[in-house]
Amino acid sequence: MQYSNELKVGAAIILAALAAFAGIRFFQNVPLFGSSYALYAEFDDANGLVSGNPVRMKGVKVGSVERVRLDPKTQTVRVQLKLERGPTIPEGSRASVSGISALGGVHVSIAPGPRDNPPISPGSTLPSLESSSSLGRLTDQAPALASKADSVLRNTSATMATLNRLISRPDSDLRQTLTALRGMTNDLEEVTEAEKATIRRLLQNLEAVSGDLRAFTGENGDSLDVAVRRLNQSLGRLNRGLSSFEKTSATLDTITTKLNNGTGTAGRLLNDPSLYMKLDSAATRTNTLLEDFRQDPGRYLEDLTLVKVF
Amino acid sequence: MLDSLLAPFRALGQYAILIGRAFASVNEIRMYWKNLFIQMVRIGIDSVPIVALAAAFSGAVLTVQTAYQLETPFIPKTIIGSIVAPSIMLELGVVVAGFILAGRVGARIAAELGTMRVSEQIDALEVMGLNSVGFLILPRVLAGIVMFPVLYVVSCVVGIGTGIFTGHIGGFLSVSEFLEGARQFFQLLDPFIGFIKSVAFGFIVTSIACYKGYYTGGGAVGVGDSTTQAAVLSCVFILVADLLVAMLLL
Repeated sequence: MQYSNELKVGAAIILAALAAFAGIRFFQNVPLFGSSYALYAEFDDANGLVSGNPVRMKGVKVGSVERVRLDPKTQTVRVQLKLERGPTIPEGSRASVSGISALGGVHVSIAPGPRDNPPISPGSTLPSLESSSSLGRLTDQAPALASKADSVLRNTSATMATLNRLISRPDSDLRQTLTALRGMTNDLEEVTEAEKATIRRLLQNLEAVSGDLRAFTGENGDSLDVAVRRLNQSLGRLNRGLSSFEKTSATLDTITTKLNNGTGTAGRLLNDPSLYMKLDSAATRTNTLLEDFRQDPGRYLEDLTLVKVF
Repeated sequence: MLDSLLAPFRALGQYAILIGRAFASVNEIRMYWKNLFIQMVRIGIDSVPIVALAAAFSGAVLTVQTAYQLETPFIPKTIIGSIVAPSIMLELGVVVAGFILAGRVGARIAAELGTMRVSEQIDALEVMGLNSVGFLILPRVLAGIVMFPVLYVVSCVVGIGTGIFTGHIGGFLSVSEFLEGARQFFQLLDPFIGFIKSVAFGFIVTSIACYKGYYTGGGAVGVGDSTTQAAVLSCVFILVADLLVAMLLL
């Protein structure tokens, strides 16, 4: 079948336009038929981020950087991100710029929020996760660290200088201390030298004593064992005795309490004075009776004569 | 002596007037409609195979050689993709196609018009009361301007596709590595500049060939001269225009 020239040309032009459009969208990394959405992120430092850099979540590419703009009012970098529809980004996610621009690996990485959160709505702004890379953190801290290291070194240097001065001055305390210390060490050395024989003897004796002790223990191991066991038994009995004593003392305690309170016979006896009064009056009367008896026994003996013999 | 010094200026003026006359007859384009589509098919669609072939080889060679030059562990492999794809879009796709078409289209137009001039067919057209410039030159130049961008797209698609394929088959880098690198540094300006260049080259190749063919003189030898000069001048001006566009737009 013969096609007309118009048809051929028109088809070629339309195909080329479609191919160009699709190719440009393909290399811009936009899904062909617009299923993407925009998100924003704000950073203190763009770190060499440019449009076209990838956006990664957990290392997987989920979109690309659309535009990087420095906000003149807040002095922050506002980045527009274009994200694919597929992977959802939960609310509470944070964004950071990572990678080193010299190696061309700068990208925005998203640290996802909790999984259960609803997906973030298009057009919202992701908060930034500051100092994400350890290298970046180190770089941030480097001046402070350097100045600290510097001051430490300076202090050390000053200390060393003072020490040096102290040591070099002959009348300083440190020097005298050092001299005295040296004298002491010398004395100790002399003593050790002089008493070497004594020390050796002492050590030998000590060794002999400990050897004897070991031998004794080894020989009388069984007896010691028996003794210890018996001691153990005795202690157990003592323990039992003590516990019964404890019981006895508790009982005694109750009895005393009862006595104090006046309950029971003994308590009454202790607490009721009437018996005493009666006894007292009885004793008085007996006394009178005996007195009477002594003065005039006949009166009573008369009646007591059982057998009137005489 | 003075005459030969002034010759380039005279040629430039002659060329400018001819092309001006051609575009002045643009309101009569309906009369040349059929001729326009014939030229579009001959210039554009018939050139697709040769342009695709050239683009395929240039893309493959560029990938292999870039991979060879970047063979250090410090440079990620994706960089190969981010060099090859923009290079083809910016430069190779359009310039290689331009050279191919300077030979194929330019020589054809110059030979055609030169033969018509020598065999006095152009004079016959004039006698018939037809505007020979509008009838012969305008459809060819318009066909070049319209169809070169189409060929540029073909060249880019085939060139980058072959680059990816060669990188994958040759074991230099995977398809996704290539695409990641190409996407990382992709800018809309790259294909836009390529497009501008393709329009410029289309105009240069066809207009120079038409000028050389239209002003052919002196028989078969003259036709040969015109054809040669059309191809050579087209190539030279493609290079000049390439540099100018790059300097102006980059």
